[in-house]
Amino acid sequence: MHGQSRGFSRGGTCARLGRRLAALALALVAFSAAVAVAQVTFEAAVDRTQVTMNDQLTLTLSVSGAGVRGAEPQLPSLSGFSVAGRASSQQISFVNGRVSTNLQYSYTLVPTRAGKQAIPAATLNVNGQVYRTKPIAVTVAGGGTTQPRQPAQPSQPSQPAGPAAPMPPGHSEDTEGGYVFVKAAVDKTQVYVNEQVTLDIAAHRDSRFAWSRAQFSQPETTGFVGYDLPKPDPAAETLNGVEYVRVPCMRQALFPAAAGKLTIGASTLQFTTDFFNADARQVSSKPLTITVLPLPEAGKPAGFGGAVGQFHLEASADKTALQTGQTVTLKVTVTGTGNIATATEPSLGDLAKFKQFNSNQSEQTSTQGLKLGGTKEFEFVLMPVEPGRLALGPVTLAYFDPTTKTYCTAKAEPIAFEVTQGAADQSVDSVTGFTKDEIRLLKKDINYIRPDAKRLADDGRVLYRRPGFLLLNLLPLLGLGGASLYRRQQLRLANDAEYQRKRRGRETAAKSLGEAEQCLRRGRSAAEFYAALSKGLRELVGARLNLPPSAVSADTTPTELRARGADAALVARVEASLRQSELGRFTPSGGEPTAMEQALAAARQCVSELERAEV
Amino acid sequence: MRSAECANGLSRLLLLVSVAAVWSCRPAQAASKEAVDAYNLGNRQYKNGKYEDAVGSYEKCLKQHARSAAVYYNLGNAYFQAGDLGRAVLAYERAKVLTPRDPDLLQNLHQASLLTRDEIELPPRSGLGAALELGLSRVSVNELALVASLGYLLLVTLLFVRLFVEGAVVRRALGTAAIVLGIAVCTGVGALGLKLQHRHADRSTVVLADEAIVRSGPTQNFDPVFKLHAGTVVSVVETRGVWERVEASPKLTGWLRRDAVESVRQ
Repeated sequence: MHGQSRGFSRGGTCARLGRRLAALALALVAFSAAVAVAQVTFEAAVDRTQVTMNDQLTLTLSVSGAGVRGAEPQLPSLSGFSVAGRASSQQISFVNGRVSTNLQYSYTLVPTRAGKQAIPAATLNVNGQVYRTKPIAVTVAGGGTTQPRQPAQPSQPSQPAGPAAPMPPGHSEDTEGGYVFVKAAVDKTQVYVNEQVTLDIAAHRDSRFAWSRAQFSQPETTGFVGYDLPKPDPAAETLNGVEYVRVPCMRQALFPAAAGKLTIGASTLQFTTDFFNADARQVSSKPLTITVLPLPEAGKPAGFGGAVGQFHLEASADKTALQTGQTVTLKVTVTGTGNIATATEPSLGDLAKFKQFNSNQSEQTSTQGLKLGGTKEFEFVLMPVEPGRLALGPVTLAYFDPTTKTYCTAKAEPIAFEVTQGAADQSVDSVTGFTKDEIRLLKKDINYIRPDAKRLADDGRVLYRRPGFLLLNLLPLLGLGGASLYRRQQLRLANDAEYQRKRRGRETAAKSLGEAEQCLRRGRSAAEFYAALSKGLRELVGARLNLPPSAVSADTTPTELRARGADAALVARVEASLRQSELGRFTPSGGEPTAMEQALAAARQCVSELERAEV
Repeated sequence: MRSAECANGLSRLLLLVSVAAVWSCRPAQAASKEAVDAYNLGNRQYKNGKYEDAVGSYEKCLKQHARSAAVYYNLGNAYFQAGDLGRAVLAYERAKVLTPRDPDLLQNLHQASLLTRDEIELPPRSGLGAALELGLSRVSVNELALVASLGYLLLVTLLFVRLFVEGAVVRRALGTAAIVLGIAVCTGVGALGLKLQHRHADRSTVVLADEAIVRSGPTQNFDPVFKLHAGTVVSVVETRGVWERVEASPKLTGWLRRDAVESVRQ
């Protein structure tokens, strides 16, 4: 029992302790929740409170605090506005072990009716707790010009200023006096052609706010030639009691190329107010008009080339003593303020005693304060054409001075040259007593041109591509091949008796048979006909059998032919033809023309078959 | 009988072809009358000191496909007198391709080169390659082709004679001469091939702009490396778009715009 009592007592102590701990934990949770709830802020702000019907405004709902991630405010019913766009951004920070989220929801509102309008309270539900913003009054003018923008005051206590602070919603951007604006300025609005106009464009940012990803777009400067001038550093500037950071975007020296009214277009600055680029903004400067006057005609010098500014000249030569045929390089330097690039080639004066070759020029721009200027160097290569003391110059450059509105001429001192032909080298001929002068080159010049022509050859046409040239080179090769074959034939005929017999036998046989035919046609005696026929047959048979023609007869030849394997019918025909031709020579019975024609035909057939036969 | 007729016909055909070949190989095709008139007009204008007009006339003559060394020479003179050194050098260089040993031309080219502003030091070259290149630069392609062709024709004639000569000594002498001549012909043909290859590979270019900025890369954004001036002859080693990589000397290379130069080879 005691034990139980003690046990109970212990258990009651533990239970109490547990209850106390639980209560403490609950209190801690409740406290931390209360702290968390207490840290949530929900604010509404507009970028302007006075707009026209043609204008638009931005309503920004800012939510910050712990546990607000994913919370989305409910926009109230807007009776006097329509929502034209929506953007959101989120920033998460981790400070002293606590996670804090900053959400911004931006709504672009377009007024739908004029008058005093109210943007009702927006609501936000965080963990069952509903937060509301304060209503905002906005005055919507009937239309026309926009009133000067005033930086709208945040509906809640303003955010801490500083460069790292995000730009608050509700700011005026595109006109002077807003949170961010771009201002373009020129030093003068009326200039002469080619006179400098200094264009200065700077972005102004309320020093309390920051931007990111700022991108500046240069304005259109059609009709001007522009040169960059050094930009000053960003500086603080106070306008209408507001401290701005002036960020120079562009500073240029512009030179109008033609007279008339020229416009410098609007320049644009794009930037965002958050890291995620969800809130891209754009502000622009106002276009500027410049009146460009033409250069006066009165008093314009003859050699004026369009240079405007203030210039002066210096001229120097790399040598002043030289010989004819040698060249001298004259350097003329133009320095001053103005568009140095348009400074034209200075006049060298009378160049009758010089020959001028091509000139070179180079330029280097520089700035004197806000004035563009520089140096332009001209180099002339000159060759004196006659000896003597030659003066060059004065070198002059005519320009228009816009400050005095008059034409002026810059001059460089004349330069004197001592030009010689070399020392006289005379010697006396000891024999004749005549004085001889060495022939000296007065001037080194190029050789004269080629004379007139009645025809001009096309030297550029290459020879080896002409078909005739190739053919002319091929033909001798073919001729050589032919001659080689001919020579080989000749040598074989001379050295090979069998070949000679065969070759000549065929030729003689053909010739004898031709004679026999002639005898027949011309009606000569049968004896002559058969003699020619017999000769032809014996020549051919002899050539085929490598026998002398005298050894061929109707009695012996058939045996020889058979021994060589000749066809029996051929042997019989050859024997018959030989026998007939031999008999015909001595017997008049064969003198009939018909018989002779038959004998000739038979002999031709024999010759033809013998030439084909392999004997 | 029939073979004799054939041989007769063949020999007539060969004779006809030979005549046609010789006709087509006549020294050079003459330019049109308009080209000749423009050339002579240019000469008159030159004599009267109207060098710019003379340039126009000679250029017109060249447009008529009259690629005559005389026209290029006179054009170079007209440009020189008009003060355009770059184009004068270009015209002289083009004339030099056609008549590489013309003393007047070489003297004028030298005179024009003296007036150019750029002095480029080339490393001295020696050896067989340099000698061969120098030798080849003194002869034109047509001259080499003609010499090689004549040597070849002489070789064929020697072989032809040797075929029909009976004496052993004479035949041996002719054979030796044919071998020597054959080697000479092969050398000539080889030289012609080298010359053609060299001409094909040659990308000599003349700077026409008074001052051309040579940059380290083929865009305007690259830094200037050096400057070249009118009349300087450089070699193009690479082309990218409108940019040419030029080599003034082995250690002096860079990129410049094509419109600042013009190639000698057309």
